[in-house]
Amino acid sequence: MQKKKILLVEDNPDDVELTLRAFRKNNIANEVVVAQDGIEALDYLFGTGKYAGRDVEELPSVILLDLKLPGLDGLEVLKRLRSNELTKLLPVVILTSSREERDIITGYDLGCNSYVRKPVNFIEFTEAVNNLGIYWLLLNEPPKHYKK
Amino acid sequence: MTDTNSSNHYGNHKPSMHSKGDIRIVKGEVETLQGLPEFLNHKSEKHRTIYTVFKGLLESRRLNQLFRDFHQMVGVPVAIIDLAANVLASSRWQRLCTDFHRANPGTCARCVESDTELANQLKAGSRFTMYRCKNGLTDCASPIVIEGEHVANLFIGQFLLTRPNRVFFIKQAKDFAFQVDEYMEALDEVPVVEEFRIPAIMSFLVHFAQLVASMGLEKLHALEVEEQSGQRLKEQVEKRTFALKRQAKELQKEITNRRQAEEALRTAGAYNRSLIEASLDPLVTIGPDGKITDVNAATEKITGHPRGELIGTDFSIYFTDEVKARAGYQQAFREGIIRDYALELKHREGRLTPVLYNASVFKDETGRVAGVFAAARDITERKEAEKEIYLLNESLELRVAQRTEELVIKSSELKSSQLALMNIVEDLNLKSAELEQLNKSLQEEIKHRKAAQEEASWLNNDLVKQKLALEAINRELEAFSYSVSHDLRAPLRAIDGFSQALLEDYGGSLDKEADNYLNRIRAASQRMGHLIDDILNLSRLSRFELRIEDVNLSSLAQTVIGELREAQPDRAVEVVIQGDVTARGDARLLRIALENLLGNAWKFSSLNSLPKIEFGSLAEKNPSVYFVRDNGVGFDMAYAEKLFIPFQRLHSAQEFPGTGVGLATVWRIIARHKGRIWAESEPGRGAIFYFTL
Repeated sequence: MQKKKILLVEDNPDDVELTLRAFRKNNIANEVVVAQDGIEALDYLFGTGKYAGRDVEELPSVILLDLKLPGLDGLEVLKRLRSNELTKLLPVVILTSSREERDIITGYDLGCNSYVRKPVNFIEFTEAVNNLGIYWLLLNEPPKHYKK
Repeated sequence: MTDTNSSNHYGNHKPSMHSKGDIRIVKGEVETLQGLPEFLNHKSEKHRTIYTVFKGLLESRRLNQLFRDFHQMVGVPVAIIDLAANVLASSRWQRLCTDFHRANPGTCARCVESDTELANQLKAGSRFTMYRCKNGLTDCASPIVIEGEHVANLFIGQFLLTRPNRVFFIKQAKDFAFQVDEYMEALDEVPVVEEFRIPAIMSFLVHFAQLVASMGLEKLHALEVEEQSGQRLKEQVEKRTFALKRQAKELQKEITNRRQAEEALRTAGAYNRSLIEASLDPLVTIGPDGKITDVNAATEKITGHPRGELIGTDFSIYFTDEVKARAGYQQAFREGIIRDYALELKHREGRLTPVLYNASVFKDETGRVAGVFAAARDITERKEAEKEIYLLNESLELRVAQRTEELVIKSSELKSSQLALMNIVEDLNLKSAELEQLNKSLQEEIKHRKAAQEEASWLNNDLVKQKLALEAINRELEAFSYSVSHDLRAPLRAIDGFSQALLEDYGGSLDKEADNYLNRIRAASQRMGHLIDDILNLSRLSRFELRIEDVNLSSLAQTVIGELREAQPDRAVEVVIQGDVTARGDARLLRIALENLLGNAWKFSSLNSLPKIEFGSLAEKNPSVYFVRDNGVGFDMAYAEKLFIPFQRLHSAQEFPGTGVGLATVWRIIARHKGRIWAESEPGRGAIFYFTL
C-alpha cells in the first residue's frame, strides 16, 4: 500500500518551506504535494490541467488548505471539493494566518474538518504541524470512499 | 155734495173686483194692485194698506144699504169720499141736486166751487166743517183718521138748516130755467136739520166709519199675527224636520259604522286567533284566579298536555318552580306587566325547557282586568350558545395567556437584537456622521436655493461621490484588516521560522553573539505578531455585534484568573473575587475586558512579594460600579489620561511586556456598553480600575 499523501495548498514559498521543515522535524515522511494556488489544487484532485491523466481515485489523506490564495481562494476551493462526489468527504484542514471569525464560520459551514491558525512562533508552528500529522495521518480513520 | 152718479165730478170710481169684504185678499194685493189711485203713490206703506182695507170695507153693499136706511130715517144723505174725491160709499142723493143743480152748467159750477172750498177747509186741519153751498143747501164734512192716517172724509149734506126761502128758490128756478113747480116739489123733499143736531150726526157717522175701519184693521192685524206665527211654526217645523233628518242620517251612518266595526272585529278576531295559533312561542291567558283560560298549539306542544286538559288548571303547576311561576303572574296582575321572567317549563314526560316569560294584563269592555296574556320564549339555544361562548372564552383566555407569554419571550429576544442593532447603527453613525452633516447642509442648501438646482445637483453628485468614496474606504479598511491578519503575519512567521532554522541547523557554527541576535530577531517578530493581533482585535471591536445577556462577572473573573495561574503556575498571587457580581452585557467582550484588567493587575503586581488582586462591585451604587484592584507598581495620575490611548505605555517593555493596546481595548468595550472607566493610583501603591456598564 502506497504511503498516504498530503496535499498542501499554499502560495507563499516561505510558508511552504517552513511547513515542509516542520514535517521533517517531526519525522513525517509522507509525500507532500504542493499546489501553489486554488486552480492547481483542483487540477491535481480532478486530474485536469497539468495533472491531466492523473489517477483521480488516488486521493490525499488530508488537504492543508490556505485561505488567502491568488485567484481562486481557499474557501472557493473548499466549496468545489464539497460539491464533487469524488472529494466531498475528503478531510480538509484550513491552515491559515487569519483568525477572522467570518473565515472560521464560513470554513466550517462549507465543510472543513479543522481550522488551524499558523502561529508566528516557529516552535509553536512545528508543534501544530506535528499534531496535525499525528491526528490526520495516524489517528483519523478516513471514510472508505475509494472506488475499487 | 150734490151729485150721486158715477158720471159726477167725483169721477172715475170703479167698483173693485174685491169688494166682497174679503180683507185677506185685499191685503195680499195691496202692493201689486194696478188700479191703486195715483194720489197714493207718495203715501206711506201703512197709509196705503189702511186705505185699501177701508175702501174694501166700504164697498160692500151692506154699508150702502146702511147709509140709505140712515138717509130714509134721518133725511140726510151720507157719503164717504177719499182724498182724491172718489165716492167710496153713499146713500141716495137729493133729487134737487142730481136732477137740477148738477144738470145745469150754471148751478153745477157752483156745486164744484162749493165742494172744493169745503175740502180746502178740511185740508187746513179742522175736525169738522159746515158749509152753505152756492146753490142754497148746506153740507158738512169731517176727516176719517184711522191709526193716525187721514184716509178719507165723511160728508153729510144737501139739507137745509132752516125752512127754505121760497122766493129765493123760485127766483133761482127762473134764473136757470128750471120748471118751477117741479123744482119746488124737489125742494120740499130736502129735509130741514136743526143745526144743533149736526155735530151729533157727524160724530156718530165718523165714529161709525172709524169703528168699521178699526175692526177691519184689527182683524187684519190678527190675521197677520196668525200668519206670522204660522210662518214661525212652519219654520220651526222645517227646522225640526231638518234636524230630525240629519239625526236619522247620522243614525244610519252610525249603524253602518257599527256593522263594519262588528265585521272588522269578527275578522280581526279570527285573524288574531290564527296569529296566536301560528306563534311558535307558547301563549296562554290566565284568569285572576291563576287558572289557565286559553292556550295555543305551542303551549300544548311544550307541555305535552292537550288544550282541554290545560284550560282550567293552575298556571303554576307546569313549572319546576311553582312558587316563582305563581309570583310571576301575580306580579303581572299587580303591576300590569312583567318582562323576561325566567322559568322552566315541564313537559309531561319530564323534559324541561328554559323560557323567558313576557306577560301583560288585558281588560274587558268595561275596563276591568280580565286576565293576563303570557308569552314564553324558548331560550334553550341561547343558553347553550352562552355556555359555548363561556367555554370559548375560557380557552381563548388560556390561549391569550400562552400567546402573551410567547410574545413576552419573543419581545425580550427582539429587544436584545434591537440593542445589538442599535449598536451597529451607532457604529455606522460614527462613520456616517460626516456624511449626515453634508447631507443636512445639502438639504438646507436645496431649501434656500431652489433656483440654483444645477448647483445643488452638482453638490449632490459630490455627496454621492463622497458616499461612494466612504463606502470604498470602509471596504478598503476591511480588506486592509483582513490583509493585515493574513499577510502581515506571514513574513513574521518566515523571519521567526528561518531564524529558528538557523539556530537549529547552524547553531554550532555561530558564536554566542550571533545566537543572541537571532533570538532578538525572533522575539521582535513575535512581539510584532502580538501587536498585529491586538490591533486587529481592537479594530474588530467596532464591528462586533453585541449580544446583551445576564453575565456573571464573578465566575468570568475566576476563569480568567485560572488561565493566568495556568500560564504562570510558579507565581503565588492572592486573589479575592466577590461572589455573584452580575451585569448585563456581552459575555465575550466582558471576558476580553476582564482578561486585560486582571492581566494587567497580574503583570504589574509581579514585583510585589505578596501580590494581591481583588475584583468586586461597590455596595449600593446605581448604576453598579465594578472594580479591579491590585497592589502592584501603580502609576502617576499625571499620566492617567494616556492610560486608555492605544499604543501609549506608562512602563517600558523591558519592565513589563505589552503592546499598549490592552486598556484601549477595555475602554472600547466599556464604551460599547455605554459605560464609563476610570482609574486611581499612586506610584508604588497599586492601582484601582473602576468601570460601569
